Amino acid sequence: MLKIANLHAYYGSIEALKGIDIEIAPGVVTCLIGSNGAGKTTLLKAISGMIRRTGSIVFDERNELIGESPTRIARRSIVHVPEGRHIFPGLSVEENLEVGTIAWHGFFGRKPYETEKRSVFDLFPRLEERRGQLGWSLSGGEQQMLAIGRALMARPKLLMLDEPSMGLAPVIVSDLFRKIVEINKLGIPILLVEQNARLALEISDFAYVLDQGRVRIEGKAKDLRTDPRVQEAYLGRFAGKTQPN
Amino acid sequence: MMRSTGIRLCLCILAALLAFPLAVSAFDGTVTFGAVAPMSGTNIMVGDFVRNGILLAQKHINERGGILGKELKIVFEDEVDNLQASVNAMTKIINYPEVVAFFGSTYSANCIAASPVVLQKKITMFAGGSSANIPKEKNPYVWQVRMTDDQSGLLLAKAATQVIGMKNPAVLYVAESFGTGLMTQTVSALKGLGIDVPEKNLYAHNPDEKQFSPILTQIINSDADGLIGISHQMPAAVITMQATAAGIDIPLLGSSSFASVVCRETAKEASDGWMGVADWTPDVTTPEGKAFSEAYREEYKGKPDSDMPAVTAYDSLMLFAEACKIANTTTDREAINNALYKIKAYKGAMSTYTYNDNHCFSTSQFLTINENQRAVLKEVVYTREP
Amino acid sequence: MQGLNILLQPNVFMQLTINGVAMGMIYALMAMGLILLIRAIGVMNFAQGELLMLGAFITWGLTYQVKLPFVLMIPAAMLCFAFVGVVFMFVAYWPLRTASYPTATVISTMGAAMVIREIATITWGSLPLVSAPLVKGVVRVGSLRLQYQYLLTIAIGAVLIFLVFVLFEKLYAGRIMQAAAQDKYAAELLGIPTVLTTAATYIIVVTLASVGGYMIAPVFLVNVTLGTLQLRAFAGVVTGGFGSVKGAIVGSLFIGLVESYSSTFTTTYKDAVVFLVLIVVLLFRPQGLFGERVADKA
Repeated sequence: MLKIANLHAYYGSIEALKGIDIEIAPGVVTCLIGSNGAGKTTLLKAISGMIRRTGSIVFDERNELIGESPTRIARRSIVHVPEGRHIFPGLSVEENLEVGTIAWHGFFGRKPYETEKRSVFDLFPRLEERRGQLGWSLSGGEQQMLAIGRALMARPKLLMLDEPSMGLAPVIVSDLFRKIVEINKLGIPILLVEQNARLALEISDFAYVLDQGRVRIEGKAKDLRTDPRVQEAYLGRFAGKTQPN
Repeated sequence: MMRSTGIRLCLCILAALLAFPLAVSAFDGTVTFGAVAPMSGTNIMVGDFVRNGILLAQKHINERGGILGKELKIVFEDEVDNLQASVNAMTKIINYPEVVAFFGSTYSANCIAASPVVLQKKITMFAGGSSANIPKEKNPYVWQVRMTDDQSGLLLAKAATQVIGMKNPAVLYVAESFGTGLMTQTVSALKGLGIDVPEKNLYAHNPDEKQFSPILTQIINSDADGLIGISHQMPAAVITMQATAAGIDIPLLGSSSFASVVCRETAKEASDGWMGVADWTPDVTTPEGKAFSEAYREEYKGKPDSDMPAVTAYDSLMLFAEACKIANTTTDREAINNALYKIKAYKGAMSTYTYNDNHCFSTSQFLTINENQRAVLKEVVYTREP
Repeated sequence: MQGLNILLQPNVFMQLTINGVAMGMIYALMAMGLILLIRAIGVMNFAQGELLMLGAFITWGLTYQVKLPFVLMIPAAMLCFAFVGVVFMFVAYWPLRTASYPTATVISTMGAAMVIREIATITWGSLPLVSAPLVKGVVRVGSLRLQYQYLLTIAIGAVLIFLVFVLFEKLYAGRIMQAAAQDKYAAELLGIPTVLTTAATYIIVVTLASVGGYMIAPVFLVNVTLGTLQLRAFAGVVTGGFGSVKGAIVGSLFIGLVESYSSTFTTTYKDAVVFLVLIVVLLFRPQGLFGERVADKA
C-alpha cells in the first residue's frame, strides 16, 4: 500500500537517507530495524512529512506523498506515533483520545467517536481505569498505551510506531507487543521501528534492515530471524529475552 | 505757454511723489528688540503665540509713532524644544550689537540656564517662565512679567476663602516639584487666612495617574466643602471628567491648568463649573485685557484665540517701550534696565505692573470660571497693591 | 487621604469595591491573554499593555474618524483585532520561533511594544483623545453613586472571560488548541494545523486586551500611556499562580481591589503597595493563590 522509491531525506544539509526503496504491503506488520542513527526514525518522519525529502512515496497506488504537508498526510489516515510518546500532558486520558480524532472530525464537527473510544478502552483496560487522569501523571507504559490509543482514534489506514519499547520495563514491553499484534489482527497495517530487533522480528511479517541511511537486508521476518548477518549484528545483544504470545 | 505749464506741473507732481516717502517716514532711526520662541520642534504652538504677541505689540507701538520716534524692529531666534538649543538662541540674540533688550524663553529652566550670559553682557531679559527659582538667581537684568508660582498659592487661598467661601477644602495636587510647591504655598496661605487643612484632606497623585475615582470617592464622602486642584493640563482634564462622572457637587477651584485650553477642549462639559486662578483667558473683561484680546482676534482672525504666551510677550514688549520712555533713551542699555525699577501701576493686558524686589512685575491674576467651555473672568485677584 | 477607617463607611466601601472590581476586570482581560500566550507559545508578552492601548485607539478611530454607528463598529473592530493578532504573530513571534535563545521572543515583544506605541503616536498624535462612555452617568442606589461605565466593564469583562473559558475547557476546538500548545510536534503529526491554532490564540489574546482598552478609554482618555496598565496584569498573573487561567483572573481582581482600597492611605505609592502585597502572597504561597503545576513525567 506504500511504495517508497529512491527516497532521500535531509536534516538541513545533512543527508540522512541516501536512496531508500521499500514496499509496505497491506494488512501486515512491517518492521524497520538497525542500529542507532541508521535512519529508522528519519524514514518515518519522511513518510509523515516532517522533514525535507525527495524521491517518491506512493500511497494506495495513486497518491504521491512527496510535496504534501504533515496535516495533509495525517488526513490520509497515515498516523505516526513518535518516539518518546509525546502525549499531551495537560489533558486527561479521555481528552488525549478525543484530540486524536482531529484528522477526520474537523474543528467544529459533531461527529461521534464513542465507538472508537470503546475499542481503545477494550484494548487497553488500564486507560479506562485512568480516564480522568492528566497525561503527565501516567507511568511510562501507560503513556505509551495512551499514545497508541490516541493514534487508533484517528482511524488509521497505516499505523507507524516509533520505538514503542523505549524506556519501558520488559514485562510491560511484552504486554505492549501483544497488543500491537491484536491491533494488526483488527485489520490495521503497522510499520514498526524498533531497537529491540528480536521482538520486532517475532511479531512482524516483513522486515528491512537499515544501516547508515540505506537498506542493507530485506525479506520475510522469519527468514531474517535465522539470517546469520542479522543474528550477528542485531540479535546477539538481545539473546534470551522475552517472546510474544 | 501751455506746454511749459504742463512740464512744470509734472515736475511738481514728481517732486511731491519723491518727497512723499520722506515726509511720511516720521521715524528717526530704529530700535531693535530680540525674542526667542519655539519655532520648530514639539512646542511650536507656544512659539506661534509668542510670535503673534510680539508682532502685535510691534504693530501697535509703531502705529503710535514708535519708541521715542524710533521705529521698532524685531529679531527672532528659534529656541526649538530643548535646553541647549534655547540657550544658543538666547546667546545669539544677546550678541546682536543692535539688540537693546529681549524676550527670553517661555520655559523657566531655559531662562535660568541663560542667566549667566545675560549677566555677563548686561542686557535686559524679560523671562517668559513663571518659576519662583528665576528671581533666586538675583540677576539684576532678568525680569518676570508673569506671576511667579509661589504667589499663585496665595491667590488660590484667597479665591478659595474670600470669593468662594470654602471652610474645609480638600486639596488634590500632582506629586512633583511644581505641584508640591504650589500645594505647600496654598496650604500655608490658607493657614494665614485662618483655615487649617488637616493631613487627611491632602491627596497627592502621580504625574501620570489616570485613576482618580478612588480619591474622588473619598473626597465626596468626607466632610470637605470644596476641592482645590493643583495639576498639569492633561491630568486636570481627566480629573474634571472623572469628578463629573462621580457626581461631585462641591465648589471646584483649580490652578491655571484647569482653565487651560487643553483642559477645556478635552474635558468639554465636564470642565464647566470649575473656577481657576489663571494668568490669562481671552474672555477677560478688564479694559486693557479686552482691548488686547479683541485686537489679537482681529489680527489673527480668531484662529486660535490668544493664550498666555502671547499676552506675556506682548506685555513684555510694552514694558520695554515704557522703560525706554522713562529713561528717555533707546540706546543706553544700563539706563533702560534701571528705568524698570521705576515701573509703577503700568496697566498691561495681563495685569497691572509695579516694580517688586524680586523683579516680578505682576500684581494680579484672573479668577475665572469655566462656562460653556470658555474661561470667563469672575474677578481680578491681587497679591499686592498695584 | 482619609485613612483606612473610611472603608467602614458602607458607601465608600461599596464604591471602592466596584471601582476595584472594574479595574480588576481590565487587568484580568490582559492577564488571561498573558497566560494563554505563555501556555500556548511559551512567550511572555511585554506588549500586552500596548495591545490594550491599540484596541482603545482602533475603536476610537472607527467611532470618531470613520464614524461608524455602534452596530457596525463592533464587527469592524473585531476584524481589526483579528488583523492585528495575525500581524503581531507573524512579525513578533514567527521569525523567532526556532531561535536558539528562548528569550529572543520575549525581547521581540518588548520591541513590538515600542513599535506599536510609535505607530499609534504617528497615526493619532500625542494629545489624548476623548471617547464617550457606552452609557453616561451614574446609577443611584440609595446614597451610592455607581458609574454605569464601571458596571458595564465588569459585566462585559465577565462575559468575555466566561466565553474564552468555555472555549478552552469545554469545546472540542479548545482542546485541540490546548493540545497544539502543549506538544506542537505530536499535534502536527495528528494533523492539527498548528499555524492556525497559534493564530487563533493570538487573535483571542488581542481581542481580550483590545476590549479592555475600549471599555476603559472613556474613563482614562485614549492615549499612548494606557500601556502601563500591563504591570498590574503581570502582578495579577503572578499572584494568582503562574500558568493558571483561574488564578490569573482571581489574582487580577485581587490586585484591582488592593489598588482601590490602598487609595485610602496613599496615592503616590500605589504601585509599591500592589507589589508589596504580591511579595507577601508569594512569601507565604510561592505557587500563587491557585498555582497549578503541569509536569512531564517519564
